[in-house]
Amino acid sequence: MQWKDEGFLLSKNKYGENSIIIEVFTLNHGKCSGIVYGGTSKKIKNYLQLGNKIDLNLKKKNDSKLGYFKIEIIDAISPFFFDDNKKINCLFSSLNLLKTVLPELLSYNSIYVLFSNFLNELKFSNFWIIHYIFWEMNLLREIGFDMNLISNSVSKSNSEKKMITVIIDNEKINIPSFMVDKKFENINTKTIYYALKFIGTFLEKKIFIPNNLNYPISRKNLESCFR
Amino acid sequence: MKKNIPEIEKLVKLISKFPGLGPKSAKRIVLKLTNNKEELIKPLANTLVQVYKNIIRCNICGNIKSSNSNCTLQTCSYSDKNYNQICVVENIADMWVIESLGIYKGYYHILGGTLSSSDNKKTDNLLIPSLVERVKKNTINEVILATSATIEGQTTAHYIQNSLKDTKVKISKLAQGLPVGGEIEFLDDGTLFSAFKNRGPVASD
Repeated sequence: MQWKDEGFLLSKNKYGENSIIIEVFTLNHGKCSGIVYGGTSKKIKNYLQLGNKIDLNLKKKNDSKLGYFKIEIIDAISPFFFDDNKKINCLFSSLNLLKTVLPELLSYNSIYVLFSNFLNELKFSNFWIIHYIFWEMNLLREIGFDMNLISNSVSKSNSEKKMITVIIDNEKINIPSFMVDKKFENINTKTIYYALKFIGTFLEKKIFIPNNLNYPISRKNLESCFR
Repeated sequence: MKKNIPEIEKLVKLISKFPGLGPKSAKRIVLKLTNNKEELIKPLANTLVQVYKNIIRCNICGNIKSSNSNCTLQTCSYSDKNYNQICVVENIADMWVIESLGIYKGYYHILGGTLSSSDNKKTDNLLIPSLVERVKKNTINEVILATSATIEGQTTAHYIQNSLKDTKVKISKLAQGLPVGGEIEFLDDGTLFSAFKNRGPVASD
């Protein structure tokens, strides 16, 4: 079988001397892996950077076998963030999250569009971290872990109060009010840290611990950037 | 019927694990070795034993060294002179390339890899704490971060930068941009973006 698609590079691992096994999140085929022959060559290595958008041409004998990719670059995304510690950790964290939560070979067009939009915001917006927080919440909703913050909130926010109480799994938790009312006037580093920490705890309880996974270091690093 | 000799099979299997070698090349090497037992196998076996016994990776600078040499945070067995710069590289091959150019005179610090996004590799496996200690205990003026221009390399560079924040040492990193002989028409987006971002003033005469 053979197909052509576009996708974002999630991870790469060396295979043999000259080849690489890549994992990509594609528009029409979801998350899938394949071998790139000659992936360590100077030409291909240049654009096989995590987060880059690539054109993919996959050939494989059948669904149960690992196919091989022919790739071309569409958009080099990662070099934009080389100098920015926070943004590079944010990109790392988002890729890691996609790699962890997405099932293999199941198309998720909506998540692909969300991720694509988020990368645009990461490149050009000054409020990229807000976009990241909402991207994580939307991702969780799409995969069936909706936090329902609006219906779960028990105390209302006002302009002075930056925090709001929500009940999740019979537990009262204080979260930054912008996560519910989407008013972004009084946001500071501390509120961003609380928001990241809240989603991080949710991820840990619902996804990482039940699946026996470690909390990703990239996300810990991102949180520590705002501590 | 052909009868396999287990010793030879085992040797072929081992040699074919070397970079650049497959089973066919390994068989040729084994043949050469068996035909020259005294001249090749004996000294090779002796040398391998010596290397196995005496060569270790230094847990301070990350370089390979003889187990007899005593490395401390202040002295490095790899260099006799005292320097005030440390060049941080990912692996020994990177150090050899920089060294062969002869453009840098100073200490090296080999991390032994980069921070990885996927496998949650612990930062303890990289020799970052010993780098901080070396900077603190020596009169180091500058730390040059020579990690790769990849997302993993740059994340590692940022991590080291954070770890060295308290030492107040000057931290620099290698420039990114146009490669020598690179024609703009054929450059990829990432390289061109870095070249524009890191452009510098033209030196006047």
